[in-house]
Amino acid sequence: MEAQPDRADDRDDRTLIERWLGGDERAATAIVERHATAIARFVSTLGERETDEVVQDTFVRAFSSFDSFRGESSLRTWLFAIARRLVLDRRRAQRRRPVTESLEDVELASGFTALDSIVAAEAEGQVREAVERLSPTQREVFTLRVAEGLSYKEIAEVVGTTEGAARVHYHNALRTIKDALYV
Amino acid sequence: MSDCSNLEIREALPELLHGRLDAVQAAKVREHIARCAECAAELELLQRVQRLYSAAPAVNTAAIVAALPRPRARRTFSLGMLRAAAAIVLLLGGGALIFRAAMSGSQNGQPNQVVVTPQDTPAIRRDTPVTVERTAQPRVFAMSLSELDDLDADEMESLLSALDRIDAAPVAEPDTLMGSVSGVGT
Repeated sequence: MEAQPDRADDRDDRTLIERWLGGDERAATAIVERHATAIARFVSTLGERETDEVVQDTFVRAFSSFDSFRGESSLRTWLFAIARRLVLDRRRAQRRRPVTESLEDVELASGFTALDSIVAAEAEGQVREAVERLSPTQREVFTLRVAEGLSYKEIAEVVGTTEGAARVHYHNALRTIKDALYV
Repeated sequence: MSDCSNLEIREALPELLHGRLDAVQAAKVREHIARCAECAAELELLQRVQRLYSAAPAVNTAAIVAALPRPRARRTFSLGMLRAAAAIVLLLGGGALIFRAAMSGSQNGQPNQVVVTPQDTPAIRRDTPVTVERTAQPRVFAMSLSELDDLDADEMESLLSALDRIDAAPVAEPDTLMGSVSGVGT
């Protein structure tokens, strides 16, 4: 059963990009408002704390490269791929950096997220725990599929894998979560 | 919790969750869910995951937009600019031709005559100049810009000075549109 791709959204994105390339700065606001929340959500599921910074860097990179955006994938998929690369780059950089973070800093940072109010509910907490126990790739594929509604093709473009591999990751993740919750 | 054996329906559950199925497909999946406990439970689990991740951190869109690079406005040519460009080409060609004819006439001391060297008429020897009388009728000239190569430095300078006095050239770069951003981050 084939899902219907959101072609109208893709067309709107291309129109907005064309308008921005033509000098219309208001198109930038429209593009950011259409996609910023989804990118922030995706970035937070990757475990990134500095969501604001990554989302902003994602748009700065994208707008600097719109000339080369060929529209072969949807704009959202492309933005997800950029955000993912930025998160991975930050992780690599953090691994090279000596740890200077104090415990207080960690507590302040982890004390923030809006997700906390939701995970307070026990049932939701269990689901979250189950999702977080997945391997990084499984979690990424699963949240892109369930939280963002991406197709396997789109997920493959974001993660840099094949549609078949994305499908396998999704079903393995689902099986793992079911086992964690219902056994 | 066991899995339903209908993989096609299971694959469609995330699509149903995000409204990416058409009406016929959605009805088919819902009909299956109504009589399949496994798929109903799986859909419920997916809905819980979706709710869990629906609370995204707040995003300051105004700050993001402020950090973006400015668009590099593409150069576009309006009809008016193209007309102006065509006028310049005509002026260049016509001016050069008139200038050349004038120079040629004064050099021969025969202002009423134009010397033409035949190039396309084999019956006339190329080294034989042909003298024709000027007529009072205006003539239509066809020439290419390559004929400007024939002008010496003084002639070219004189022509360029004349062109400098013409105020018909378009600005090189169109003004960048700098519309105000309203409702940002509201």
